[in-house]
Amino acid sequence: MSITVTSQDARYNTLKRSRNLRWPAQETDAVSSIELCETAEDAARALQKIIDAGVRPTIRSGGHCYEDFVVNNSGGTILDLSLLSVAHLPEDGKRYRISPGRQLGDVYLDLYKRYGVTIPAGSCYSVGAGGHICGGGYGLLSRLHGLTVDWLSAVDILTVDAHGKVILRRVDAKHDPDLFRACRGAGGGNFGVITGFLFDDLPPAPQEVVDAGISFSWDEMTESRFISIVTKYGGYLETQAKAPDTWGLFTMFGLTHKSAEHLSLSLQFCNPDGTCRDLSVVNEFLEIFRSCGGSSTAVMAPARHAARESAGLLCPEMRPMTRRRYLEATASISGSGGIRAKYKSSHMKRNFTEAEARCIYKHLTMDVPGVDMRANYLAVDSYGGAVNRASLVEETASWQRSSIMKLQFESYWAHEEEDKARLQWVRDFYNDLYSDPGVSAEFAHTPYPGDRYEGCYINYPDCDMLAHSFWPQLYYGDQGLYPFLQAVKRKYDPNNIFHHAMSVRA
Amino acid sequence: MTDSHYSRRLFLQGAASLALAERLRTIAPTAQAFAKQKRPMEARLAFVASCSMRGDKIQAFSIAKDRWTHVDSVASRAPSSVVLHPGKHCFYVANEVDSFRDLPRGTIEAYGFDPASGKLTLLDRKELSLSGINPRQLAISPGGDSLAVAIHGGGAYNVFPIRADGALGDVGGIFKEIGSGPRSEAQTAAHPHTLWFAGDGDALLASDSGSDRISVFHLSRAGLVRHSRVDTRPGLGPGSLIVHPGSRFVYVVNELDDSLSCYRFDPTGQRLGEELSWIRLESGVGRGVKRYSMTMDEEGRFLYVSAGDAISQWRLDSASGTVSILQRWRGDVGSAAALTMTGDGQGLLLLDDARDRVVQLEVKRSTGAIVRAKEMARVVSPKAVAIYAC
Repeated sequence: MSITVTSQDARYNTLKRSRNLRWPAQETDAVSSIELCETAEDAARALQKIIDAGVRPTIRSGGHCYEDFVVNNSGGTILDLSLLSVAHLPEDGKRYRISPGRQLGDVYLDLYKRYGVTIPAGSCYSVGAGGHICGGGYGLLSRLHGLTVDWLSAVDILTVDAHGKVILRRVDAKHDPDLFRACRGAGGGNFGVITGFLFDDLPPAPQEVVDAGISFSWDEMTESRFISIVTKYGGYLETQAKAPDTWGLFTMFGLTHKSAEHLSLSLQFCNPDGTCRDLSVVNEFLEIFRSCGGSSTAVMAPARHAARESAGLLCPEMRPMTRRRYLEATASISGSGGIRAKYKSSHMKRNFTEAEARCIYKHLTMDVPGVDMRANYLAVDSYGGAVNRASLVEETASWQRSSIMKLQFESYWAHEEEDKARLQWVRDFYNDLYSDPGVSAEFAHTPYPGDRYEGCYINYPDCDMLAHSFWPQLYYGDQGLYPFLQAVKRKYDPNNIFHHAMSVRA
Repeated sequence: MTDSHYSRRLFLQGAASLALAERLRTIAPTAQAFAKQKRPMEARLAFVASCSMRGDKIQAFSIAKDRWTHVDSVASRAPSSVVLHPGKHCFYVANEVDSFRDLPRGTIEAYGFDPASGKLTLLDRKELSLSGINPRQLAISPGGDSLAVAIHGGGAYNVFPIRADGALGDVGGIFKEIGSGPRSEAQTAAHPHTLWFAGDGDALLASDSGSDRISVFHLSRAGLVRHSRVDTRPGLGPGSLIVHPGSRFVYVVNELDDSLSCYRFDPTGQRLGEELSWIRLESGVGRGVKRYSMTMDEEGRFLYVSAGDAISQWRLDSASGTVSILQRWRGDVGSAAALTMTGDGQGLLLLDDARDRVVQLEVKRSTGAIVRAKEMARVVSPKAVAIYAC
């Protein structure tokens, strides 16, 4: 039996909320109840009860959705799968199973300790597997091993047929292959309730990784220097980083607002064999910034995560690095939440132009009266490598297979009174960046798929994009994936039970 | 803090509206009471929803004996249904749209009007629940405290509280309908069609042409709750629905089957009973045009069903509920978008959207027979109408 939490329950006021405290935006948007499910059977029964009562269900695994897709459900019910976190027991002899409520950090621990394997998923420890994987599942090992959905063999999913009956399906390449493909990247809350991800095979966990980084002081920054640093970074990802021996290199460049004092470039690396015996790739990468100044750091993503590791310093040639056991490195990366936030995203297929770098500089040095800008930044992650296998475009619903960088515009704040100014900064920054003369007027203010850009990431949803009639093409491309997903929607969710602001519209 | 979407504030608002409505009962008639009164034609207004390439709008007309006079217009996106408040100088409009503020949802609007001049004022515009697109029909509770919306495209029902000033509160009841039928061209999903408050408004009857279903809902603090339902024979497509005065019988046009059914209704138990009769409509009516509208005279003696350019008149047996054909009328009509009673005992109003006009059909009081048609106003593509009498 699921656990029902209604407004009479002391847990209600906590569980009705999103981790992003902007949601629900008003009390009348909130659900009337939450059903906490511990098993797939619980979920099926609870879903049937919800359907029979004429109530709208929304689905939550980890609760990290950037937008209001889950908690904006006036009078409805959240089907909460966070307790549905069965450990990774192999099924059918060789399969690995990941439950949707499992947090990524626990997934890494389980897979490592039980089997010595891993998934190339995200760096935010507390993100739930359910939403993360069905939106693609990308992280520090993705350049080496691809997206998590690239490894997916089957999905257990509850759908609701045309008559309102809940059906448990196991979908794979042979059974309901259209739905299986849709579950490999189209994002959550579209077709049903995923109760399990199954994998025939997973990549071995690296034995070790090295972390390194460079910090650039804003005090010494000029526009020309900023442009030089940013374009060197993008230039490497556009050229050298395409070589397979670099695919174990994952980089994160936190382009913070000047008030945060430093720009932080960090990396994690291992060789394709899962060792760090040959660090020439790292040194080659760091070397390109030698002329840029900056101080070396030996931690992963210092701008995002305060963790610092002092042991095991390794100093090959010129830059300090920290050699760490893979599991320690992975487990030390934490997540965010419990704060107000706004996000936007884009995929880039080319290095930054000088104009783009200048635009970024302008917004990162812009002051907004009365607003603490330290938690405003643009995260520029490396992309490509094993992700960019073109054959996977047709197999999965993750279509962005040509990008070299993934950008995430982020702003965090505590107080509702700052909403307007914060949102305005992010929106102005984004609109300005994609108003470059190289952007077609028709698609202005967006990274519409084309020569330079490859749209937005559905796991970083941004409802501002709904203002563009072509928003589905931003998230699903313009090569036929969205019509395919619409057909899947009509077939498996004919009554549009599973919907939110950016769900597939049949 | 609220303990549900039916917050204390909303509850008190509802209670206040109810109390106000109770007071109004003594000084102003309800919609059903309005309908039973015979009023002089000189003191009336008509509000007509129209949709055309030249712009969607709500038009107000002053009604004179032989002609309507246009007095005001306001733009309104794709208006599909208009209902008058029983005790206030306002009415409500459903906007049959599939997007509002970039989200998949339709809207409803509240308008105030000056009873002397007919001048219109937009009071409020509210979005439906998410995915609630293309609403087609509205019903207002007899007490005037709730507005119910049948959402054809989104397969849902919404109920909004009506505030003391006639404006609307946030959606207070949502019911997501799910179902389908055998007719793949029209029944791949639920399509709520018509709502009707029965009796004192405790029961809200709803037909769903997509799922072959007629439901009885009631409003509670928990929201909109289905009390009972009847699954019709598969493929009927129950559409237009009317509850007979006295609430013992319910008449439903089966749009996909071109037929008319009568069901027994228990207003106390809020249950729809057996299907008492089923009659084919298609013979001589509509020539295959399956767009039906249905209305009933105030006493519940006659039922009129329009389909295309034809109208059939049926006698209702108040004891058994059964129907029998009296007349099949085809006059100078292009295509009926809607059919309703004039409310003054004089006859019927027919919205002819093929010929862009509003037509009054004079009926013989003793037999209910349609005797002649008269054009009252030119309106481009009229879709819905509500009549006000002071």
